[in-house]
Amino acid sequence: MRGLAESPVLRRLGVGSAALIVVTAAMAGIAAAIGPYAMPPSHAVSVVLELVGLADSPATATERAVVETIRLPRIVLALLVGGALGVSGAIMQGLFRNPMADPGIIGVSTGGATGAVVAIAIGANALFPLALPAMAFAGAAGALALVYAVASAGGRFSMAALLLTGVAVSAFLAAVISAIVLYTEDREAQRAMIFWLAGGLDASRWEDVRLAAPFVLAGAAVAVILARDLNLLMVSEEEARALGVRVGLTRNLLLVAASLITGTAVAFSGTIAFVGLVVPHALRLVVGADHRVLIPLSALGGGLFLLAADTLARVVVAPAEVRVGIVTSFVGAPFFLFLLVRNKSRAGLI
Amino acid sequence: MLARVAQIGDWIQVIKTSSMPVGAGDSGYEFGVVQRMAASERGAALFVHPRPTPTGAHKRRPYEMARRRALFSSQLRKRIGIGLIAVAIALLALTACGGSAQEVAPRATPSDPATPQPAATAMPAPTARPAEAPDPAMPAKPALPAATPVPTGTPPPGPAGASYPDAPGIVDSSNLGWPREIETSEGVLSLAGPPQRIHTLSLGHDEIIAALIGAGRFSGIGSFTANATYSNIASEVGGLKKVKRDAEEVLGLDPDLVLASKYSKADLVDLIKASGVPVARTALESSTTGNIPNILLLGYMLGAEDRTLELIAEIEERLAFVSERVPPAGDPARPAVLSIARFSDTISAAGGGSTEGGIIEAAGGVNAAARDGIDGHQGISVESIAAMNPDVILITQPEPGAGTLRDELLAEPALALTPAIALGRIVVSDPRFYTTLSHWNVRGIEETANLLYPERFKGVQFVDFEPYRSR
Repeated sequence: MRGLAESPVLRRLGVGSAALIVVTAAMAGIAAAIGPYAMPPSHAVSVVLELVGLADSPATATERAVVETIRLPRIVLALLVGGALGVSGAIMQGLFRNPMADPGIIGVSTGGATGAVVAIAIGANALFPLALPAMAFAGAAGALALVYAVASAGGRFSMAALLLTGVAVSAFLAAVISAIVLYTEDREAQRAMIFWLAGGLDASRWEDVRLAAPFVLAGAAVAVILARDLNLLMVSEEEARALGVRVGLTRNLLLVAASLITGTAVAFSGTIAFVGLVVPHALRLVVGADHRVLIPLSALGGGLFLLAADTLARVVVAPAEVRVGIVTSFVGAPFFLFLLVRNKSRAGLI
Repeated sequence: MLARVAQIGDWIQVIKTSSMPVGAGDSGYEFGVVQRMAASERGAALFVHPRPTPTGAHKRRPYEMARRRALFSSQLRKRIGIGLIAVAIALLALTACGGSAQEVAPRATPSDPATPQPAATAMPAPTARPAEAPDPAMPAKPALPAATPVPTGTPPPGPAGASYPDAPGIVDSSNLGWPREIETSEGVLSLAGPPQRIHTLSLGHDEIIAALIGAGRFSGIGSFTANATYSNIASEVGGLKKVKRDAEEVLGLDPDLVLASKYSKADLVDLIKASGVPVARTALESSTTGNIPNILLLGYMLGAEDRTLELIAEIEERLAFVSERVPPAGDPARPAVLSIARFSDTISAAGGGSTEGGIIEAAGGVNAAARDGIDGHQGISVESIAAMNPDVILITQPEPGAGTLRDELLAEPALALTPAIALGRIVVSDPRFYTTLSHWNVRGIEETANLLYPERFKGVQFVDFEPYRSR
């Protein structure tokens, strides 16, 4: 027990997690307290405390409704989606041994986007509120199945083939999306597609949280459980096999887990760029490449990053909103470059 | 953007301060727009209402001044003639009865404010409108012109004998022959004769042209113009070939004039120009009043001067009819109105400088989004709607999305105490009137004003612009 406590992995994980949890809690408090609807921050905090049974809130009915039904589900969904993208990015970068890999690298994001665009084009989203996330998820799953089937054709599978197939399928689906957007005559549907593709967390509901959470948590749990095996896979498949790792099964489980949570994220938020790329990479520069530390911290870091970006998107031009995907790129890219330059010797990239 | 809203407000103020109440003198009257009344009142339902007097005319644009001067002198000549005839008849009658000519002469004087004027003209539609229901909300206002039986109306005068008003883009407005020149951002264009095969790159242009010369001279239309959800002339262009905004498709129509707007893509316009087809790019503004110079330019290009002035007169009459009945800009009685549409999950609000915002202001509302700092169309959240606390919400998108959004907002707990939701004043509006860039925005102003102040428009049924009919 004492030896476990002295493990550098656990120490890094503990310190990193504690730091991220504290910052995330503070960020969540800020996000709950500020927004276009002006209210004393204490009222917002008191509503949250009242919800967990710790205090009575003096907030008005509207203040209570704003915090309970608008801000809190959005905060939780931002944490889930950001966490999902962070974990997915960490898995993909590990599996492909490529720091430029991101959750969309094998076409899952584009597949999800295709499903969503089709849902809008046929009007399904106007008839059934959950049709869009359902079709986005189906699109992501379909893209994964297609990529995997093509990459495994002939009985030989390699990560290089998977990557190339993913790029090709992704390009094909991107063309499908462009064609649908361009040739949709319904201007309203056309604008809906463009808005959706820009990514955002507006109109987040507790129902979205309830639907997304099981998939994200299940996928993240698989990733955490297989983190040690992913470390071995990063060395080489032969080494991993020699050390008892069932390479094919582990790789497939990780791919499915990453695709599952990416598809879920895309289904509920659209395509949000940069989170899955920048968060695992930035954390790797800080805590190292051990996935037993990196994957849990990527979940926390991705959630924190997206929550901060979404809070900024909500308030920077209030009462209007900026699309959160724009904020993630604006904030994420310079931060990413700063980390790269600062740690270039450790990263060995530039 | 805010300056544009202020400009609209100023314009409304100019109209209001220059409007002359019934009975205050005839010189301020021009009979023009005919509004139809509610179905129950139809039949004897034509009425006329006043147009702005020259008071405050120094604030008007040059073309308007020129037009009014021409109209006024034309009308003056008619009325002098009418007066002389009336005096002669009165003298004859008096001679027969042994009375004095001077006792009755004022009855025939158009400037008599108290006396209904005799229908001593050969002008059409001499039907008085039934008295309008009293307006309890506006007790201090002078009686509305329609409340007094007004005997006759004249059709909006054309430019006969007068030069065409000047407008940006018209090189020489006194040249009403052919060839004539116009100058737009695409350069100077000399038109040898009225264009016969026209194609435009915007719905707004199509709607204006259809109003000026009908749809017969379109060589083809954009698919949007044929879409009845957004187009006000879909029924008029049904048989025309539909093309996309593609240079090859446009050239395939063999047009002799292509009209672009400031929103048209430069590369598309360049490709069309490079093939030798004349292209004019005219300003297509997001406010009805801002489009009047554009309508003048289009009318000049098409050689439809008479109809252009008629259309502008109708626009001004309709706007004046509304502005006289709604509180002036800055009046605290004006309700806060939020215009929204939802695309995917994103609610888009129409802020300052938007077409919908201009419509709201002209209809006597305060654009809640512009008031809170939103420019153009921007995404907002439900929380932002709660923060804006609008009295009325307009949803300017088609069904089924509009109804779904309305239902969701009505069920939104955070909006339960917002006046618009609490009072059920969340209305699905016809997108045709709110998203186009043409004179049809006036219909949006009328519908919105009627929604905001139903008691002030009781018994009035606003009707669409009549389709063009060749004469």
